[in-house]
Amino acid sequence: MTEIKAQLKIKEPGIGRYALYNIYEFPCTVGRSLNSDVVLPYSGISRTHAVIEHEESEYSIKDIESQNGLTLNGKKVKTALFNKKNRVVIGTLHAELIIEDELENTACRKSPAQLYGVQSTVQFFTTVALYFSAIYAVDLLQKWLENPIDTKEAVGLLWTNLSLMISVTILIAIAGLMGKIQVKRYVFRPILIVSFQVWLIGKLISLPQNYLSFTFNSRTTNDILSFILDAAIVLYALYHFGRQLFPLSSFKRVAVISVAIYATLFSLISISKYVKKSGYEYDFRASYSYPLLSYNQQDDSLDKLWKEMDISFEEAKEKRIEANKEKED
Amino acid sequence: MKQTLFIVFLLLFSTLFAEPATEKLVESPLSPSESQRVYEKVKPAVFQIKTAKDEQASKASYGSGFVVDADGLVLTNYHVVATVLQDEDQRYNIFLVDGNKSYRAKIVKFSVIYDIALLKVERKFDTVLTIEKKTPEHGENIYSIGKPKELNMTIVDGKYNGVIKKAIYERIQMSTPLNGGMSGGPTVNANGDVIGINVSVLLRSDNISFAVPIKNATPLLKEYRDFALSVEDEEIDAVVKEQLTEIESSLMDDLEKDKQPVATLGKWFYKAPSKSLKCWTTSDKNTKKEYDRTSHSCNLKNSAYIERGLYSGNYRIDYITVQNLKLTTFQFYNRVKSMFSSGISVNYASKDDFSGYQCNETIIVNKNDISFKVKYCITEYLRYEGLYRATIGAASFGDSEDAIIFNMDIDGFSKENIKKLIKMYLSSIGKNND
Repeated sequence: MTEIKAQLKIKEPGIGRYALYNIYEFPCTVGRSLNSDVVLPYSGISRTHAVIEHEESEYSIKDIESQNGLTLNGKKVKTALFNKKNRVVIGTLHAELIIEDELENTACRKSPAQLYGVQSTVQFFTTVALYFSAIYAVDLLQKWLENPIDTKEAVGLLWTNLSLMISVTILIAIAGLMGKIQVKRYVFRPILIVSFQVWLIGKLISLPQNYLSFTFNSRTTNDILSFILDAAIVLYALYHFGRQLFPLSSFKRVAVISVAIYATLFSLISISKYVKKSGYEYDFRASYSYPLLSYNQQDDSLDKLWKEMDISFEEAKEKRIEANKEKED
Repeated sequence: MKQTLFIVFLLLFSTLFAEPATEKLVESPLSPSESQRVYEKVKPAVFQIKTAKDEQASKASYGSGFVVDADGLVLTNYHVVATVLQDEDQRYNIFLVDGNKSYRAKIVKFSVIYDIALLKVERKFDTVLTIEKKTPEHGENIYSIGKPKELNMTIVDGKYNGVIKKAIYERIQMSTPLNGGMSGGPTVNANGDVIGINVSVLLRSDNISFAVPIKNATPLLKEYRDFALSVEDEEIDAVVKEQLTEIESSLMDDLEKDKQPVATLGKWFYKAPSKSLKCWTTSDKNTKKEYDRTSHSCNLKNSAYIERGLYSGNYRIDYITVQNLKLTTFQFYNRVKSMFSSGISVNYASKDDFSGYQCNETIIVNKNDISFKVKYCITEYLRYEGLYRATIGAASFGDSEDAIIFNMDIDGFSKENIKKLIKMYLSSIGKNND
């Protein structure tokens, strides 16, 4: 394993996150071109932008005829020294050089380019097509399990999923343009792919949900199961989007923020449901489906029904006493 | 608002809106003079009855009534004056209207079973109607008198067509064309003796209407109290509860006595619903011939009117069988699921009358080894402790070729009887596996 000599720390504009680039030897070319030693895929960086040199104990950066050049402490320069006092800007990116004894752990901090490498357009579209096919197949399976499908319906389903995919893509593009996410293929593409991952996983989890909940023959168990599965999908989505948007944040931080967002949303929805519920709206639903899980038949005679009904009778009685008390007040 | 609603309900319950000014050629074999005679004899004892805040105020409800005792005893329908009993603010009064004058009246006895109320009016009367003790003959000429809407006191004629009896509920079926406002008025024979109290018409029919057999009113005349029933909730509620319990007993008795054979529907068999219930069977395949669905629905078609929007003392049963013709197992279960989900919708239970539904779902196996997914909802009447309304649905599973869905709606029964009813029908379901 080659030794890391230094790290170039780039502050991304707007969001405030950092990208760390390992430098293994000097001189080290910096630019947008894939031939550079350090590839900086940002706007404002020329194909060949600068070169970092190490002479004696000094580290300097030299501009090589780039369009936006280098800025040192606010002034345009051709060369700049990396030290604690200087603020160097490459193109529009704030840069810092971290040397040997202060090297930072880059384990979880990768730039989008490092995370996804350089995906060619062909690769990208193939990946999308694969995800799309998987999603469509799962969808088709789910529909077929419910009803026989004819060609017309299958085509309709294809069109629905296609238009959904296009809408999602457009939405993310708009969000990117409006927000501060750099809508470049190194960010935009990964986010799109994560969306499809989440979509597919969501579908795969919800498929057996119906069939599982049938056998849990009490309303509470059903509700708990639904909650767990829904929470799993939402947390997965939040976490992965978080990772994409903030790849340099720690694992813990992203996880905590995801759980916090989910908990807030869940509480808000639960509160609104509770407030709306008057207790006079009946909830006459029951899950029913092919019994995927077998159930324990031993205690299931009608006596069980009477036991459960007796509980409900008691509850109704308590509600009556409560309601009558309220009336008197 | 409440008043308007009540009037609407009253009209729907007890009238068929007459078609405007269409001449109907009906053979009238009755001599005009007989109806004239009856009218002359009976009219002085029939009056409009209304409920209102005071004499001049607009009516909350109205109908007709007739005098049975010179001291001021008047018979009418319970639903004509029910507003007063259920009015918590006690704003409404009952009035007997005679031309321009109104006389106050109070309820001294009532029956929700037969929809009768006995009033004491603050006035003496000269003409009193006699009660006919004998049952009329089928086809006998009868006359119904009452004051429809804001029109003249009216006499209409028709034929006596026997009695319809469903458990404790009993009605005279007749062919006199009743209209809204005539509820509570008398139906008399050619002699002018009362045989029944006008109560309702059969909707979407031609000239079929109903009266309460007068023999159901006689007990009220024997045992009324000298003082007026107070409008205190508890007293009224106790009476209503007692009567609802009576209905419940009669329905349970009816079931015990009923020795119906087992009914079959395709491969399925089950205890046939009591003869007192009106049943009908429908069958259809879906358009793609993927499954075959048959339903057997039964309804008592009679219930006790308690107050606006609240009826009680009845039950209904539905059986739906589904046969798989060419679906896969999963698809068949999905079909049954959508039928199970739609099923009977639980009746809206207002906050004023009920304690709020307690619902749950579970899985059971009955004695014929049929597994069911069961869902149910239970609520208790606020004012009638120990009386409940329950809805239950059960869908079989474990067979990918045949399924059965059972639905039952039970209203105004005690906890024990509800369980008894459910047990009777649910445990009787079985399947022939030939």
